Amino acid sequence: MKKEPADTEAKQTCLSRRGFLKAGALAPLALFTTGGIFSCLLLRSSGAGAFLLRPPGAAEESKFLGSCVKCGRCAQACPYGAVKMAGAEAGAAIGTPYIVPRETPCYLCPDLPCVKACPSGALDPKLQDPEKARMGTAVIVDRENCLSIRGLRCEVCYRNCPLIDKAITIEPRHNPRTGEHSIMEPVVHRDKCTGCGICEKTCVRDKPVIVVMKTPPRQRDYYDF
Amino acid sequence: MEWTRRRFLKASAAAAAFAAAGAMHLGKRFADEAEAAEKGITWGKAPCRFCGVGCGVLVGVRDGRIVATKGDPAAPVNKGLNCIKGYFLSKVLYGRDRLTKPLIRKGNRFVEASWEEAMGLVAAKFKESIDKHGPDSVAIFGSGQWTVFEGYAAAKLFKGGIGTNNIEPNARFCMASAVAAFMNTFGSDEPMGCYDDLELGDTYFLWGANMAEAHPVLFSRLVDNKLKNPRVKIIDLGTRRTRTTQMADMFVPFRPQTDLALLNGIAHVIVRDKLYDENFIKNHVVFKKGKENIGYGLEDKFKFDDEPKAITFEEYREYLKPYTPEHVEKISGVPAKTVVELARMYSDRKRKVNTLWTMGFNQHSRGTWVNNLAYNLHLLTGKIGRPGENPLSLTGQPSACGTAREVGTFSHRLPADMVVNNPEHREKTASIWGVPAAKIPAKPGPHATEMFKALDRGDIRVMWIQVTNPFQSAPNLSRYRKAARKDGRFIVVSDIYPTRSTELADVILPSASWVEKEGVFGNTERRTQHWFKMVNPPGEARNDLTQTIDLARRLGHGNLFNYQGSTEKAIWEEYRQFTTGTGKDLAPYETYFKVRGLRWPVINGRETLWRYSEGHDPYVKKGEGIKFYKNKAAGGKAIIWARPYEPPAESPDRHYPFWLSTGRVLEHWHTATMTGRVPELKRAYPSAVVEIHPDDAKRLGIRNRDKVRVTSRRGTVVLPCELNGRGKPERGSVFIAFFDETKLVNELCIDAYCPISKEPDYKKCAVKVEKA
Amino acid sequence: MPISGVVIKCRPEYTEELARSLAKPDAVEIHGALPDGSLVAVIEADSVEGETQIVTGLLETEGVIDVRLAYHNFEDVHMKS
Repeated sequence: MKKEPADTEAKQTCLSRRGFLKAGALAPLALFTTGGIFSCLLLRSSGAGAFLLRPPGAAEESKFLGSCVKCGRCAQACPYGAVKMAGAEAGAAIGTPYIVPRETPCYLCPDLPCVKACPSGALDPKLQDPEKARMGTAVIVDRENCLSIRGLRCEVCYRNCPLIDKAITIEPRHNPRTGEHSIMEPVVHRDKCTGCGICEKTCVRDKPVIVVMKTPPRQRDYYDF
Repeated sequence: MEWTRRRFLKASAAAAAFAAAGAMHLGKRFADEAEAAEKGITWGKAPCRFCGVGCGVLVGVRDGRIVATKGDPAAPVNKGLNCIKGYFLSKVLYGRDRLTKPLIRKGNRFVEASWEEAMGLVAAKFKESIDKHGPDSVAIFGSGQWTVFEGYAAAKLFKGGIGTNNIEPNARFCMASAVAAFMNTFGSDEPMGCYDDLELGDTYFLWGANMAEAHPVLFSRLVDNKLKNPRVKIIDLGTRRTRTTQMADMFVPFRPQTDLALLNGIAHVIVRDKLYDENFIKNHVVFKKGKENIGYGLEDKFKFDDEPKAITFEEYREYLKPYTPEHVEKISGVPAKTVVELARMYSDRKRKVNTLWTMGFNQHSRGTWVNNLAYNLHLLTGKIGRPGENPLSLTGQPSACGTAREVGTFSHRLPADMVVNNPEHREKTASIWGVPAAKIPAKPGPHATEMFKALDRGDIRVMWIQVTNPFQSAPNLSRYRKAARKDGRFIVVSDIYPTRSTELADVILPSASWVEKEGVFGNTERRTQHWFKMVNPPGEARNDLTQTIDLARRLGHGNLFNYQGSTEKAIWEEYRQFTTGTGKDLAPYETYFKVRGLRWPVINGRETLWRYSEGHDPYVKKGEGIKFYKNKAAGGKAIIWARPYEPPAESPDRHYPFWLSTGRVLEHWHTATMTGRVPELKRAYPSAVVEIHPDDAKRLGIRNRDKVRVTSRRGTVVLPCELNGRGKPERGSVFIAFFDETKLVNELCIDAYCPISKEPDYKKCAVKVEKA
Repeated sequence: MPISGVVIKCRPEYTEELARSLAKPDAVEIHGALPDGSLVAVIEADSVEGETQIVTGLLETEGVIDVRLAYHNFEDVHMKS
């Protein structure tokens, strides 16, 4: 039983391959090469996007999956219990370590015990300074529900950020609704954000409006600013 | 791929899809719930329960419960905005362990009792002590979070009924220095300016004030002024970098206590370079000098009375001579050229200068002096009593102004700026209260710190504590916590949750809070705000007002409270009489029902934005310009006080090499008995940390988040450290917020106080720091 | 052989019928229906193009409002340059 074209929404009748792969509410696919490296795409039940937040020092996801031996030592080493081991819902990533910031974020231990515990180098031992970790990038995904952006005095994410004034800064601007207050908007800087998730944890809304997502790919142009 | 792996993957695929669909389904249901929730809510106005900014909120009630709050768009203070403490007001009264029944101590346990039993016991203890040891053996410790009615009833009962001046508010710990300096500079308490100055000025000196976190919505207004007007400058002067510093144009760090020297240094340059307003000084200022080398109140029964002496402008000029920029640099660490720069900014005729301060100035062993010295700069330059140019003392509590200060719930005060040691004031009070004038003692009672010392010694045996948590917040805390449990002491605590004070009580009385009773608060800018009762308190909890009147009746002073009709209205109209014609005039009760508060003096329904200023303050006659009319003895002039630098009570030394300062964070209010029970606020900032400079940490082998032990001569605490947080102390200093009931940092603090205001110095004592 | 987990959003009145008619061995496996009428299915094909064709077909079926990808495994897929 084929539909009449009038029944459908304005769509192409034959979906392109790209269209199919983009049809879900997912983060972009990880890039892959020939030769059997695979990716699993997953909707995290916290609703934050289709990626697993790996411990500090984790390589890019496909490489990570290739070298993580799922021993669980990083999870044991974490003094905060932030690192969990993925279950069956992670598909092929079952048994790999990940962090759910809203439960327990990464607190950027100065001596990186998780990295030190990793036997396979899936967490790169060259990472010595937790502030250089790039686990992900925090994003304000719900501006309409961010109290700071609405003009209230919140900025809890900013005040709790371990790289305060670097990874998150406040950009104040005039509040046109009241005419005499300022909106103190927290702004994340992707080149400094470690993806630790302390912001996501401490956000005062029921559902955090700032969440750690997969770091966007780097890109450049020639402008001087 | 092999078949079993494929099966595994297909199962994963299905599982993931279910998870995805499940999440979507939940979202939809939540939206439906939100829609249904809006129906059936009644909204009423109230000031926020928390700080002295006094934002207006609308409280939403349904089925007898607060279900929502929102910022009041009609409130001029905040226009619908709040900070996150205000945002969660609807949750603050519904913590699981809300006190609902009176509790009487039996050994180490508390046993539920009826109100009759509990109040009967309380009254019996009061009566016994008064009979055997006199009226000064009992006391009440109240609060800047008392409603006007609660404070008034307590003052009337104790001073006019029992006949003791043993009533003190916790405002002694926060605003007393500001009060003392208002009184001895202007002859009247409370600021001459208002929040409008935050929009109308262009230069803001913030001294010892973390406005970004402690007065959030006001800071928002200040920053907006800066955004709209590039001329606006915010100068942050303090001993620690904060979020306020981050948004300021200039940060001037100085060594603890040397604000005294710095202020004198600025005055020195203003006088030396003739940057003062000669005319203003001639017409509106007289000069005085007081006692020096005045001690720190560390001894029990320490007494101090200042001896003011009139001096001339010339003598004042001489007095300032030693405070050269170079000398000030030596004492304070502030570069000499910065001292000059600050003086130039203060006196720049093209700048509308404001000075704002809070606890850095007030919780200071020379707090009154440093307040005086701040006023000196405005009085020398004539930048005062004019829109956009005022010193503005910022208040911590919602009604330290409205209740504690205006009603006069201090051991030395009476309503409306009056004092117990003035016979005319006692006469006037007694006549309004309908008691014999001789009833009100002429001798002031002990101030708060001395009151707790008296409890320790046994001179005070029965103490009632209402709406405050002194056994977490008092300085040198251990001594007073032990005092509470000594034999022969009887402590009654009225509160809404179990606290570090209720745990030391003999009787705990469950109280109503905020909109569970009718109330009036007065905020920083003299704005008196009213609210109606909107919900019933839980269980058997009762309004503190009712509790106090109950005790009054049982002690035979029920005649003081035989009001007809609404007790609140009757109290208001009686209290109002104190204010009429004084320049602190309050309006008839009904006036406050509709408006979002009014700034007193209110004359013929019109509020006053700027006191002492012709055209703004109805008490200033035509042609007078500026008149400090409350300073009758000084002919309507303000006082410039010559005050010296004197060192703090306790400075770092070889054994205790660090400064310790204490304070607050935006997420929690005071001892967090309310905000700590809001899960979102607790999650936002669960526990206290010690801020320490990274260089000091490195030297001590301490890394970020390591557990650290901080110890003073009086106490010790172990907590994680923070090297790069929202507050960054200078080298040789550490900072700990005092909200955490599991980390009683006030045990480390010293109970040295300003001998004039009697306010303790929570910002300076000596500690050692080591890895725990 | 790429494998996808999808959520097929259907008009509720069509759910039962679609659950029967959409199932196709080695192509579309129906794993369950949800209260709002959506169906959870697993799609497999020889290639991603094959998957795409299946999904196109689903989208064109009466009663199907949308097909959302929740999981995609293509570990043995070789990319054409």
